[in-house]
Amino acid sequence: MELIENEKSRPPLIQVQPWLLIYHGKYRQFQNFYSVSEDYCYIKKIPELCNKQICTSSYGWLVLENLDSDECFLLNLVSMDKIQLPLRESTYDLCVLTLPPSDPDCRVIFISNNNHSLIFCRPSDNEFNELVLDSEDWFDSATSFEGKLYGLNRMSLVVVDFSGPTPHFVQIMSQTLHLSPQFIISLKTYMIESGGDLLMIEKMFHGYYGSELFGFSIYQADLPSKTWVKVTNIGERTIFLDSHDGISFSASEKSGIKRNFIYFTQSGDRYLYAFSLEKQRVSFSMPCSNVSRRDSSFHWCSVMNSYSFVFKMADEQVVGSKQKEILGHEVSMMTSTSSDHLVHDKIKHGERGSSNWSDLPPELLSMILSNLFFGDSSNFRATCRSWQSTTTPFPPPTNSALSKLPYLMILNDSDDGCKFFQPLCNETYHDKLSNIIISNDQLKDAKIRVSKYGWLLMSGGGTIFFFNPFTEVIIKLPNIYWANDFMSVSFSSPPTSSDCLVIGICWGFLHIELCIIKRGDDRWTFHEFQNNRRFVLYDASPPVLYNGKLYCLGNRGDVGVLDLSSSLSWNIICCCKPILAWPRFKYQCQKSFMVNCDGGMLVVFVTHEERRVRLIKLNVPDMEWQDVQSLGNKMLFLSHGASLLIEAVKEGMANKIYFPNFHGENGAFYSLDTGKYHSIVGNYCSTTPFNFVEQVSSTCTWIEAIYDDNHTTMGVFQDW
Amino acid sequence: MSSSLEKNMLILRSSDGEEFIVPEVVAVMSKAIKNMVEDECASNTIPVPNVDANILAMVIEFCKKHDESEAEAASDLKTFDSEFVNRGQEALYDLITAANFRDVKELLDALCQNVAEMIKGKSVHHIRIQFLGYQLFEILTSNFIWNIWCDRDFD
Repeated sequence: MELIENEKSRPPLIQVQPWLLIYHGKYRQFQNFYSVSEDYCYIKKIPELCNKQICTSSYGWLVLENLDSDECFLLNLVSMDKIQLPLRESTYDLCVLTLPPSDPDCRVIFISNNNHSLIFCRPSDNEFNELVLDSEDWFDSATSFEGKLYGLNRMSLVVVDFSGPTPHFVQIMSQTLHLSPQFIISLKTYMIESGGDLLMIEKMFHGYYGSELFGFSIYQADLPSKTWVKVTNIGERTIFLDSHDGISFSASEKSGIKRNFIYFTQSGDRYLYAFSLEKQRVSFSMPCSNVSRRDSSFHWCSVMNSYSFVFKMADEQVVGSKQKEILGHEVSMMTSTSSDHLVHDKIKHGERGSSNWSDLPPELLSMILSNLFFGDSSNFRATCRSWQSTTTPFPPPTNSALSKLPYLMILNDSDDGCKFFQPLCNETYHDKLSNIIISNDQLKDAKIRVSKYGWLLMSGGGTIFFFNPFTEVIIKLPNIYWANDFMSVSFSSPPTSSDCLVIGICWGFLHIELCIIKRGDDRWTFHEFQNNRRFVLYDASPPVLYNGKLYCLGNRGDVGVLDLSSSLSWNIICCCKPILAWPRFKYQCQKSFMVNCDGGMLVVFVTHEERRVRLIKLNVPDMEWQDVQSLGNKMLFLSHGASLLIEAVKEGMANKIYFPNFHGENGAFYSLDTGKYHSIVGNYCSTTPFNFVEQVSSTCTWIEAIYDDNHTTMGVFQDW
Repeated sequence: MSSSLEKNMLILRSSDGEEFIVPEVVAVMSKAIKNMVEDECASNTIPVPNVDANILAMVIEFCKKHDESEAEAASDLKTFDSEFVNRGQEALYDLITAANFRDVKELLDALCQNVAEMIKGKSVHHIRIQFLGYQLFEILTSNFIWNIWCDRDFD
């Protein structure tokens, strides 16, 4: 990425929408314009933008307010036209521009939830008019749609129509969506207009101080039937969200902006995240490395399409893509000649002897392949054409090396099944679930909470159940009203065994409540404990059961221990010196995982910036922490559903950590030997994970391939 | 239905007409034969098409050893397996297809493992020479194009 500094006082001419405007400097005197399609950052110092706050941006106009005075005005970034607005005194939470300023019905609206006021004016007015809101009203987000203001008022949709002499305030939809679970720490809702539809987007975070993305929910307002319709695919459009506002564009193929993606920024870091709605994966990049984390703010700005400019960049891009096409053509020509050659070889080969290895049946080839790993497996496939399409058997044959390794299971709303990714062979298997399971709404809304013994414990929509993706058995647990509110949940043994115990933890600042159920019971039992030491439960990683005790990770790097023996007791270990000694742990740590490791608890921390990895171990009998530099002959599989520490099956796998990360379509791992992230195939390695995509934790988990070989029934509901 | 405890003898006839007398417990290690015996659709002589006498003898040797040494230490069996499967390409190929066709799981596992061991650490060219009988000239000519092709798909 290069930075140029010519024409400093004018915004750059970027033809592809939108711009990411990055304010930085102590007085917000610098503005960087980042173009996603060009991956290019223009440094500017535009006097009109200095020391200003962007209230909103739509129709190519910015609503700006002066940070030192009550002045606010409209600014067009292309023509640099400026329209002064009346003076405004109060603070605001939301700002909406309903139409372009040239339209006579245009209104600029500011909403203040604390003052219960909504003020609005035309661009030509001398003062703002005020609409006093009800004390119950609280707008979470608002947008302009068809010239009106649509807002979410305590999760019900309201519309404010300004076309009459006085604004008309109507509640049009009061359907409340299912409440998001308690483990979603940070939830931000956006209202945006997207291709003639009104969308509500929920951005959900969990983990340390809400630093880890849980996922997005998108709902489309069906205004005639007054309902919200869940959307899993936004087609050719792309949504851009900053910490206040969102906009949506239809992305063109050439622009380099990915379709069906959500690009978003987070306050407090300098990254630009790209979230794929189809694959539920997130990647991040640093658009501008010369800004500081504290003094910068990010905003998406749109440019009106009606302003047509001739850009020389446009021509260059076309040339570039043509060149690529030509190259692609050449490669495909090569391929066709090579395959001709192969056919030829085959004929020749057929004449020699009876042992024709290239004609082995596919099931035999896949059995051979299940014993080959890394480079050997790609060499095997490259040997001849009939061997090329061979995949390892799934599920793996029992006793083979593969069966000792977990799969990364990806359960995605947009698919009709689940995917299993095998890191050793770098292969993905698509497993179609039977119709009984698919048509079951339970599975659709539910999130994976824990994975153990080849079973998943899932919860959602007030229900909690076990699901075995290999045999497709669902075991529903007795209803519990607050199944959604389990911050953390675990179970002791496979749900088919008679001593299985499910333990859910509801956490509060003052009390910690445990909900326990034994196999066969039809009722949960509840146990409440005082939270004397203000233990904050880390919600993202499930607790670890060891020697009849439940170890729960806390948000400050402490560990809560629950004794499950006859007398239930709860105590908190706060001897967390190694973590406290780590400077700015609280702000740095993004996620952590806990796993049982020879009589202790191994805790893995991953930092927010650059995703560095640090390991410490809690020795259980003496409850002391100790730094860990190496895993020895073991490998770690980390995900929030399950973390597994396994003896390396192959030499090359030892001392590595497998996150649910990908480099392109290839798997990736973190090596403790090199301190870098590597891709499994392709020799890519890097200290920063910028070129890796992370599968969002709510959609995936590592799962052990433990299943009953003889189990043939698929899609069954069993009793608890 | 005949029980496997009776130690009945069965006659297996290879594709080239040679006959082998084997205890039933040994013969039923092949799932295909087991099914035939259980369905009682087999007379005393069971034809084993596609498998010649040489290979059938090897399969029977393997099954006999595995049947006898059920109680023996697993490590002994492992050494036997690794020695047993250590054969030339041609025999391996015939064994592996026979084991697959007759559905002898233990033998198939051992053979596949052995083939994988032979492939491990070898380059694509060597695998081709070993298994596909490519000549050096063919490799040299196809090498360049193959590399492009492989890079494109696997890298």
